[in-house]
Amino acid sequence: MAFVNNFAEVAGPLDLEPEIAVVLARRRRNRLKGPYRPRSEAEIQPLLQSFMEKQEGHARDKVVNVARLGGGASKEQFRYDLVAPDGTSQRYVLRMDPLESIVETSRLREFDALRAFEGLLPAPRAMWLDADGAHFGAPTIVTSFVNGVTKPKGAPGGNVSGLGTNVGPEWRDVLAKDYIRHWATIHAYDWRSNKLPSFVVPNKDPQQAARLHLNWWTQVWIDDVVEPNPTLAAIEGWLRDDIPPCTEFVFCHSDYRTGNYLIDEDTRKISAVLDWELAHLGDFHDDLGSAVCKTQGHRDEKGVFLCSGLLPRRQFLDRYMDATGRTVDIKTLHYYEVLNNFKAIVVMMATSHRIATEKHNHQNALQTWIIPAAHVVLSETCRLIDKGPDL
Amino acid sequence: MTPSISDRIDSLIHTLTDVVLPAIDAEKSLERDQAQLVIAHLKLIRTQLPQAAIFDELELAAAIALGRKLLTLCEGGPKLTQAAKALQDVLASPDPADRQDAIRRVNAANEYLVRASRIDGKPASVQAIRTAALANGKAQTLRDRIFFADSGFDADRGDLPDMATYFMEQARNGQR
Repeated sequence: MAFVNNFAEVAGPLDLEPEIAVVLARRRRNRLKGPYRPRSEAEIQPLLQSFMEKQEGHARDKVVNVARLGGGASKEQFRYDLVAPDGTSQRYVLRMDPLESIVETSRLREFDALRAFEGLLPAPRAMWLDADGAHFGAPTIVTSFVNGVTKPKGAPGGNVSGLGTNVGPEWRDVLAKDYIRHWATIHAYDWRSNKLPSFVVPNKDPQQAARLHLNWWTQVWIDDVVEPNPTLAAIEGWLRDDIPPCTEFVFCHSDYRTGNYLIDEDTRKISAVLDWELAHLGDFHDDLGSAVCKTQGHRDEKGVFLCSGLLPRRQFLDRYMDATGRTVDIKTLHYYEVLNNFKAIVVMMATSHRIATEKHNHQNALQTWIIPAAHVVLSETCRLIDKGPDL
Repeated sequence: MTPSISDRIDSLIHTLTDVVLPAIDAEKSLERDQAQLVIAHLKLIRTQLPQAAIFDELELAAAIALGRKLLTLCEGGPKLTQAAKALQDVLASPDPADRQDAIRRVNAANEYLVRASRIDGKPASVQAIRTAALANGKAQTLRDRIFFADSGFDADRGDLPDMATYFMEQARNGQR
């Protein structure tokens, strides 16, 4: 590194959610290790076998057909079959942290989130957890396996990690119905009566929800920056100056988009909402700000930009409001659009770059490939700040 | 240079595409994905290579120009004054022998100053510094988007100018 990273001196105190602080502290320790060598299926099999033997009712089951799963930019994933002594078998997915990940998150929170939504919408079932990696050597979650694809056969395409996935015109309407319905379910979740032990209710003051989110990604920038960027610091300043109050807390998935759900091609429905690792409690505009992000959609055949590759922005917001009964406040949405862009820039411009140069990830080629997506988001963010709130 | 860098990259692309990729088991999705990304990276580097030196020169010139502009906008307390002094020192010796290191050093001092302005800068100065940094971001991201247009992330890439034409024009206009 050709510069001294002394940004912490001028960043001020950054209070974080306790579980996020734990995760980021663990990563700072991991940074001293490496380089990382991806785990092989042969290494995973005995670890899984001994793990399953400790689980109630599975002591005599056999782990077979361990196979790495592709796709995704974040965690190492393997599927496997668990065969009971009577010969019946079930398929599962193991999700494990590499040494460093494009988003450093908590498997405990992912487990809590999946358990919370069990039976409420289609999602993998959270089965077992090794929260601190005591068994696997890295934090790990095991979920049920759900059949489906992230992109229907013959669909035009998309980029890595499902960004900009184009499902094609014949799938858009049918998927949009499910997509909106699940938005309503996620934001209707009753977090007051159902415990989410690893989540914080950010109600210390009206700005805490946005501030905690902003602090999280500011801390990640300071920890990970490879190429300093004065524009990003200016955007952070803009975000700190006018934090909107949050009056109603909802469960925010934080990464619900095409590419992050599975599609059952036979029933033409969403068969599982995936990637719950960034979930937190906050303002519903926070989640919408992520959904309208420029890299998460694409232009249709007539040149109209489609949010999440499904609906034009106005239509998406109208249908969200119809489904939830909520009213989108344009100024608050504008704020959270900038905040979510800030997060996306940090992830792609700092973390992806850092973990690839440290050789701490199982997909270094992908990590460097994804960095230019940050330029698109940064450009859009400058435009948004210039332009001000607008539907 | 014989063989040229472009020729060598071309042969690597062909080898990976015609020999290595077909030999990877179709079930090995991670390995196939990574191999395909290596090929895509090489193709992108092949298109960027002729403009890479100009790109870095423009980046460094823009970082230095922003630094000089920021110095004219500083009004505030000791933290901002200290940041301005540090930026001045970096601008006095940006070490252009290694352009990418120089870009990092100048932009680190620029970023530090933007952050420091929020601690004890006068409100008008904070606002002016922010405006300058955001304006710099617009120009910088236009260059970046053009340079990386073939990575396919930009929904508006059809509106971007051709890379070679754009950078040649920028260089001709003396903006480096």
